[in-house]
Amino acid sequence: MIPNAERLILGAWTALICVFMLGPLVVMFAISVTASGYISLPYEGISLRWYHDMLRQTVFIDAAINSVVLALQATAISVVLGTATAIAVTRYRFPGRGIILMLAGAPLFVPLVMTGLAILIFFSAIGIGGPAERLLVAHICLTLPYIVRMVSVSLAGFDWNQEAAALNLGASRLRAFVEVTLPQILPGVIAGAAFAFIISFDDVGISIFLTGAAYKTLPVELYAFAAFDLTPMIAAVSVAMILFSAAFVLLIERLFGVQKVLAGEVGTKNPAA
Amino acid sequence: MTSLSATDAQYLRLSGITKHYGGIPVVNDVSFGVTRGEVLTILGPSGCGKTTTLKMIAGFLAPDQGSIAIDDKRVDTLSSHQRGAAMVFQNYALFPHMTVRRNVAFGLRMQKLPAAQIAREVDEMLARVRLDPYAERYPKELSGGQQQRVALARALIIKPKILLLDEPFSSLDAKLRKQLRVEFLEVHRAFGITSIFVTHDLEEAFAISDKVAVMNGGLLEQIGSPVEIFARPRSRFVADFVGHKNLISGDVANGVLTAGALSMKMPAGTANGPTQVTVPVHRVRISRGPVSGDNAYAAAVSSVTFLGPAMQIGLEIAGTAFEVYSPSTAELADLAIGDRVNAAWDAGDVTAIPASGK
Repeated sequence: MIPNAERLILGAWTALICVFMLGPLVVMFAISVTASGYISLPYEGISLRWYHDMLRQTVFIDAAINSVVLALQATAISVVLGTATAIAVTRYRFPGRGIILMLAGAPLFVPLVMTGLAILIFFSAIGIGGPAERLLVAHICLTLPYIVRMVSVSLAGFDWNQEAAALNLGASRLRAFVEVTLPQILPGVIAGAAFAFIISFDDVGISIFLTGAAYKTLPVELYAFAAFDLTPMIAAVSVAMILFSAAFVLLIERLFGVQKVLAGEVGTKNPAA
Repeated sequence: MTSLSATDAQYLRLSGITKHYGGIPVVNDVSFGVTRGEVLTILGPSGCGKTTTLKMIAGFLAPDQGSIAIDDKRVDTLSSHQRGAAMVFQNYALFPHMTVRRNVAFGLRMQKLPAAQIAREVDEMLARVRLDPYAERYPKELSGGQQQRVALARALIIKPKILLLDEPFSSLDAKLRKQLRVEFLEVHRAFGITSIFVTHDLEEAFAISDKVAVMNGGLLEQIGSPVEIFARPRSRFVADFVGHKNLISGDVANGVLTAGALSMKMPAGTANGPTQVTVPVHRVRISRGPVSGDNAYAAAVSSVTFLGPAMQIGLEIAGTAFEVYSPSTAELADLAIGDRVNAAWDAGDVTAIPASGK
């Protein structure tokens, strides 16, 4: 293939991706600032009335708080469990290791709807926990694979003799982990946590089965609202969610450089090897 | 060395150390002592139990049986850092996210010493191992030799009684290994620290050690000075491992071994009966002219390999194949296959290998 044709095709491909990935977001943003009373592009003028409207809807505010709290809780627990799991399966070979790896990855492969339904049936059967607890368990399952994956990647090539060296020099096991291992896998832990937070915050598939009348997450509330009352406010809420997620990723990027983590510049290979 | 106290002669003492993995003994009833200030190398092929033995001394593994004492104090029930045995790891296991200074300071920080004292001791240590210009660098910015000095400094700063080194050169090329060997010996001399070194490399073991302990299949085969190990192997395995080629089985009667058409005088006091002996490759003298020795023969040259300072020469003596190493003298420069030479060695160079040694 001659380079020019190659460049042309690559350019066209990139343009298509931009149009189809970013196009809907642009349309959504346009709709959210329409002055019309129905879903349309802002032909009749630009207005922030739907954002005003949104802020007066306490159901959305409550749901947003629920979503943030849930995402924080799920992420915090997942980070601890996922990091421990990643260390166990990376460092040791033990009976059941394959099963643990499979279980930790399962939520990635099983349709969310099935996971949600299964958790609902399970909790109904044992009859404990309200919607908040059920959602927390579900979201831990949902987010765990991302932490395990990201931390495992940063542990690849890690020289465990470093921990032995720390113990030999008088560190406790906890101290050895905190001073020697954790600083080296931190980019992976943070990237995993960022993924976990966004995944939890945006989830509809599992959550829709587990929310109750008195406890809804923002995406579920939005979904329910859109089902019977289609106003441009939906667009305003969506834009707000997108901005929140984007701001979150940007913050993480600023603080820790997620790009570096995702580019694979994680973990510190033994320099002497 | 001046007179040693009983404790100094057994500064490190392993008694009946045994370790099983899944019912298989990896280290089997190993006992030896190490004299204060000396370098002892545990030498053996991979899987012989040498690293397991070192890990038990370091406290990373607990022996199933036996005891370990350092400076007359039993340590096998103590945790790693309470034993006074500091470890230098394979590939050094330096902390890549810490500067040289912080790597070296780690052990002192764990002891919760005052910051000013830590800074002072680290500075002193860095100066002693000539790392002061590199204090603020990270390990990956250092050469192999500098990394080794960081590893040694990090271990030595906690003032251990014993230094343990687990094949620290194994992943390096031959030239660097030799350089690091010299550097290690310099540090060893400067600190005079009792050191246990693990390697599978014969030349390395001989070059750095006061004493060598040869292990095979979890058993301690022989312990002694490099010269003893090389010249007087006490088992078939050690003889093979240190490069003996001329292992001959025969019958001894009245101080003479007979193996087919070959007969050879044995050292005085050799018992009668079936015996296996080794004739060390470096003790055979050969010449086109006459050579003297207790055992002198006419030999036919069957192979010649020029190795630079030495020549590896295959000989046939009384129907038995021999391999010898001889200096590359002018006389032997044009030695060719089929040449007739004279070969001789002394009765005292012949070493009987005990039957128990397989």
